[in-house]
Amino acid sequence: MKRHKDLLLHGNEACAMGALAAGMRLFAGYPITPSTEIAEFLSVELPKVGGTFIQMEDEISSMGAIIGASLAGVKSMTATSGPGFSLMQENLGFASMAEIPCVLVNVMRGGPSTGMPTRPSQGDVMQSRWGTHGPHPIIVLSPQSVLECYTLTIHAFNLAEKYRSPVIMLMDGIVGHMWENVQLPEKIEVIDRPEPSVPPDWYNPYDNLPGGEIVPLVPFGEGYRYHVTGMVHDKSGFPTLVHEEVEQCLDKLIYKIKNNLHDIIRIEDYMLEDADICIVAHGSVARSAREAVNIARNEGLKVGLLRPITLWPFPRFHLENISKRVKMFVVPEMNYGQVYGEVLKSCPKRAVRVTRVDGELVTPAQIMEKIEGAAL
Amino acid sequence: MIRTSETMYKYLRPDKTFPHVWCPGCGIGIVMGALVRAIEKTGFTKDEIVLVSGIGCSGRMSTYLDFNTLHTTHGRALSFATGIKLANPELNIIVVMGDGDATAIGGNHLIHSCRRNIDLTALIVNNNIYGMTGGQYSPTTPMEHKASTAQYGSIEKPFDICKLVEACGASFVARSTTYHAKMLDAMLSRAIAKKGFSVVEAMSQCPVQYGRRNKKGSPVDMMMWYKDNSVSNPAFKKIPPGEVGEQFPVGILVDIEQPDYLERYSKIVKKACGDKL
Amino acid sequence: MKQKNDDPIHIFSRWCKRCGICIAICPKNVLESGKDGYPYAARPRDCILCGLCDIHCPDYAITVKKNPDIKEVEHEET
Ligand SMILES: Cc1ncc(C[n+]2csc(CCOP(=O)(O)OP(=O)(O)O)c2C)c(N)n1
Ligand code: SF4
Ligand code: SF4
Ligand code: SF4
Ligand SMILES: [Mg+2]
Repeated sequence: MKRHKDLLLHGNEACAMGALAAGMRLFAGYPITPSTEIAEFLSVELPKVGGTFIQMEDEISSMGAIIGASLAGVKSMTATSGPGFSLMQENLGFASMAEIPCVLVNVMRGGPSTGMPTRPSQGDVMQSRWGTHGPHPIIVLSPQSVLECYTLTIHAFNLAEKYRSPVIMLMDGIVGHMWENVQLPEKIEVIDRPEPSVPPDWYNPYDNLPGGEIVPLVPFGEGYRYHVTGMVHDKSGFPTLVHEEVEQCLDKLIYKIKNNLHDIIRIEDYMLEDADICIVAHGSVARSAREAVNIARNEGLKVGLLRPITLWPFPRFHLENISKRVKMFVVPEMNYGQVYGEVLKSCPKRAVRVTRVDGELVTPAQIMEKIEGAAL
Repeated sequence: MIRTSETMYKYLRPDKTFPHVWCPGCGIGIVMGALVRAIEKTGFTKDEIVLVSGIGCSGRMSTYLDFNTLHTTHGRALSFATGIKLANPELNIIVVMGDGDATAIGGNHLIHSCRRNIDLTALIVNNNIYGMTGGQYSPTTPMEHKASTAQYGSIEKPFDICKLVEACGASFVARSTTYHAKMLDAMLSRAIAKKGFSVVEAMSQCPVQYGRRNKKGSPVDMMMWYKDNSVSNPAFKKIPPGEVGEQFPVGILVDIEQPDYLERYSKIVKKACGDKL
Repeated sequence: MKQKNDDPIHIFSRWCKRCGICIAICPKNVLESGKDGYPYAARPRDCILCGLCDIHCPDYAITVKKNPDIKEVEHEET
């Protein structure tokens, strides 16, 4: 693929380009602000690279179609926003349960319900974790820049393939619609689906392998006939209600993520070494937070920033470690405090939140206000 | 003729528990037998077939048959199947759904699959009821018939599935019953071979949740009812409107040639690639 | 010349759910319900090997074995 250099892109476009670079060749979606540009871009570009674009009848079927495509061996993606994200939850759970790699982009807008279609938000942090029912694994990434919309989308596909799990790109409306001049990386790492290591008769798509090794998902049609279901299943994929098998099935789902936190979780820290106050912020808000750190440092306040790039699994251990050093946490978000709740759960230190739900950006000044108030 | 039982052993998954889960006399087993004979006739290998099913008694079919099988979510089977087809057009995809699955919760996907003319074969097992969940009324439960959620009789006008999908643009539409098991397999093999979206409605008795509540008698009685009330399509057209009663047409109702979704998509590819092709 | 097969019908009672469909569908009245409710071939010599019992059994529990010498009888359904 031709490398793009020094391009003026918006976040949604960069996300779509990242998907193409990762080898995504099927997109199924339903238009919704502020994610639609992803579908529009891919409807033009996918046919050029041998891929398929389809506009489905709704978000439920969009999610179904990308699961189907992935089962047939093609990397697939959908993109949506709030109301559509809600509609995708049942099939998202199917992808978690049946361990189907796929990427779902949710460009968050103001909610609940139709909310504020044209205004950004970070209101779906908890829904991205717990939106579908039952215990399930999920990986959620949050980019803060146009460049990251590109690189993290590639990363999302890699994680999806590696862990046979749906991965959510949770972008806020600001990041999705923001224009930036970016230089796309020359070299990227792309993980493709590995070949099965056993012949068909020996293949168990849901086997528990020693060391938590993940069984490669063989595409339908390659001679490995097996069963895929959203029901609790045994190692061969067939429904089971045998207690040990049920436990094994669900445990495996959770532990394939839990045992690989070191590989999955990405964070960024800024001026945290000597900080007394740690801001925890993600997405576009992290950019305001970084600015707030600079302002605070100028005023002689020891403030640093922890930015979870991986929102789920939540970087609990990082927070625990930092909490040993800092006096308090400040958590700015474009919601009433969803990451804030996780911070409280992760460590006993004092934490305050900076919330904003009016569809406007959390400003550095707003964060500073809390910091100065708290530092007194 | 291809006999079911002999052929069946070639396609049933030997490690599954038999007899299967369906109630005594349930028509779904007959429909599954017809499906297997139809596939056998088409000559496709097991690896070339993908069986996608929804949720319901009929959705259980996918567990028993030795193809690439996918048991999806309630009503959404067609959307999963669409993704598979687009990703690998070489695969022959059969989508088994119940009447509730296909026309209530999945009605939107059904009509749009017709409109798109995506090359899939939809097998709708119509037992006029929600079997799996205990006999609630479905979009095909006849007026005044009883269901666990229509104890006073249904007041909703039922769908005629074949008319519905015909109006939505399906390329092939056929209806048969469990009494006409042989006709059913003949239609299914044609539907599978057909390029474009095809729908086969299999009227199938649910003696337990539908029959019993509506005093339809034994499974045999229900099948005989199909025999007595089904009319070949040409003959059906000649019945004066006032005299139709409970009669319904069986046979191939629609069989038209039109470009399928992927054929149309290939035109997009040409346009998108411009001179490069 | 059509030949009659002595016992072409095999019932696999482990799978049979005693629904009676085979008995009712047989055009030659070959099958009957036994005391235990399972069908049995009461008049096997009348069997014309049409296979209707076989393809209408929901449980694949009844098989009509073809005798290679016998010409198939295709049965009209409608
Ligand atoms: C989203 C969702 N809603 C409801 C159900 C419960 N449910 C399972 S099967 C079914 C109805 C089945 O009826 P039908 O599709 O006609 O299939 P049948 O059992 O009659 O073959 C329902 C309502 C479900 N599984 N998922
Ligand atoms: S409930 Fe009805 S449809 Fe379901 S298995 Fe029993 S008879 Fe068949
Ligand atoms: S093959 Fe035909 S004639 Fe013989 S027992 Fe079966 S239904 Fe009767
Ligand atoms: S049709 Fe099949 S299950 Fe029913 S009685 Fe006959 S052999 Fe048994
Ligand atoms: Mg039904």
